[in-house]
Amino acid sequence: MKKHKRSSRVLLVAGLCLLVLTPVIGWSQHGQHGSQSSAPGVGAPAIAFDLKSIDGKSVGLATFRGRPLMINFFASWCDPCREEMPLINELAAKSGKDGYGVLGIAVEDTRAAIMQYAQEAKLVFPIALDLNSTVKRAYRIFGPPATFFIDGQGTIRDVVIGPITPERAREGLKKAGVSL
Amino acid sequence: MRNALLAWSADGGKTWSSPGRVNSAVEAVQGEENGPKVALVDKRAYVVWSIPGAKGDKTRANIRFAMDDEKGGFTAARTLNEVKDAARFPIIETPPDGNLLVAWIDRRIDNPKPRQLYLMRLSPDGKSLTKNYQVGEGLCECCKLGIAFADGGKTVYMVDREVDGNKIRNHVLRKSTDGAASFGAPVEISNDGWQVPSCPHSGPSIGRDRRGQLHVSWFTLGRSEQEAGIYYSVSKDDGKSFAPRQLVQANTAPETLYATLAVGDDDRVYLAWSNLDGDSKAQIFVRTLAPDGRTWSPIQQISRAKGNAGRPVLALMKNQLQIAWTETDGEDSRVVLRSATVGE
Repeated sequence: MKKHKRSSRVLLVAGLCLLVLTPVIGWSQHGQHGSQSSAPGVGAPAIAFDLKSIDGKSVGLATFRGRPLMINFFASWCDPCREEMPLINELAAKSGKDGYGVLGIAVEDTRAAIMQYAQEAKLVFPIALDLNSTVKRAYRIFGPPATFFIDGQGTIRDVVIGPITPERAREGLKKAGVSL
Repeated sequence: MRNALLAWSADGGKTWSSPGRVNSAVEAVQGEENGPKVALVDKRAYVVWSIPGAKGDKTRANIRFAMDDEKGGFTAARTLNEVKDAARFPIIETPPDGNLLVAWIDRRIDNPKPRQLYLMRLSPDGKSLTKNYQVGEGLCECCKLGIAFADGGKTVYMVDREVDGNKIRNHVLRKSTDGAASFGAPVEISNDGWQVPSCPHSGPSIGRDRRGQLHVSWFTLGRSEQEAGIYYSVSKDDGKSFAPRQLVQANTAPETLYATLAVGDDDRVYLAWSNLDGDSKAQIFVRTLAPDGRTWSPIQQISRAKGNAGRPVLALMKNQLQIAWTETDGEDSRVVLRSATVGE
């Protein structure tokens, strides 16, 4: 509860670099809104996107067209993401030899935090920044981690919501057409 | 690096001081669900925040504390957790006895055990009145805590999201009748059955009204996406049991939402939360529940974020309600405040 009777002062604290205060205005009435969209499940075409990587390059589904792709949605603050990341990194290290791509999509995070994490964890795969959560929402993910396996034709062949195991990763890659 | 900034208003939010930096040293202050928290004692501000552990690990972090030095700045920050690289998601609150109570989620006993609930007390001059002490376990690793007081601080209520062996994450209430020295067994607030192996990063909020009723709000996906939304429940027997949950607003799309509540002097409950608008942008919504416990106001959208708005906080003073939230758009972010007159 944010109720402080002990002071007439109102304070805001935020771990942010910019603070803007809006004028005091009356609230406007607004009704219900929005509608559910269909989920991109197994057998559905992967939804195209175009994001910037942590080094500023454009990266999207089209970047990997023609070869199987594993997309891992993660965040630097997420416990299970960190726990599964050595596996994701190991698979990425093998991906060139085995003919598939690995893309990390950082969600609900900042460029600085992801760059620091990528350096510390020695991540070897490209990382796209989904700063406005548009791709996360298109793929209907409540929270990281989540991993999608997409075949060379751009069809989703497997989805793992939550932490992934080596067995499930192997299964997903096989379903996406990777010969292991 | 990110900073904890603090601005203050002495006129109900009409004008504000320039934001001042709380953290004296440059450090990676964490944000979002794990962001800085503030408490006040006699116009003096006390702030806690989390920074990553020695290896840069945000999940094995440390709790930092600083207070208004009464010279226009803040004291040098110090670390509160005695076992390093094991604590995060701190809150700081002011019990009616005038001291400070700090709580956080701890992992000094690490995986596969769920997290532990740790507390410590500080005096108004920032001195430690207790060592770190454990009052609970079984906590979800990444959801903020909620706290309320009664009986001059002798009774303390804490709410948190629990996680069981099957990764089901329901919320519980813990009650202390000895000023937070010890807590009774946790009482389940609602059996939502949300089984999720990953991080919800969305914790509960609690408030107590003058009649002694406890009001709680939270986000859950429940047992299917159709159940997902912001929920509310009330305890009318001082935390022994809770009424069946009521849906405040359903999710409009798959998205983890963030809810908070405050209780007015007239026993009206004010709720604020995030949800997606028709353009798939997260916005802030509010709703009130009348003291009769049945009459809900219409839902109002109060943000118009270009990107996304999230993690609202509420402050009630007399007949003024202040709501602040964070807006992000790409790599830009800002804190926005709106005020409303209430209770008339």
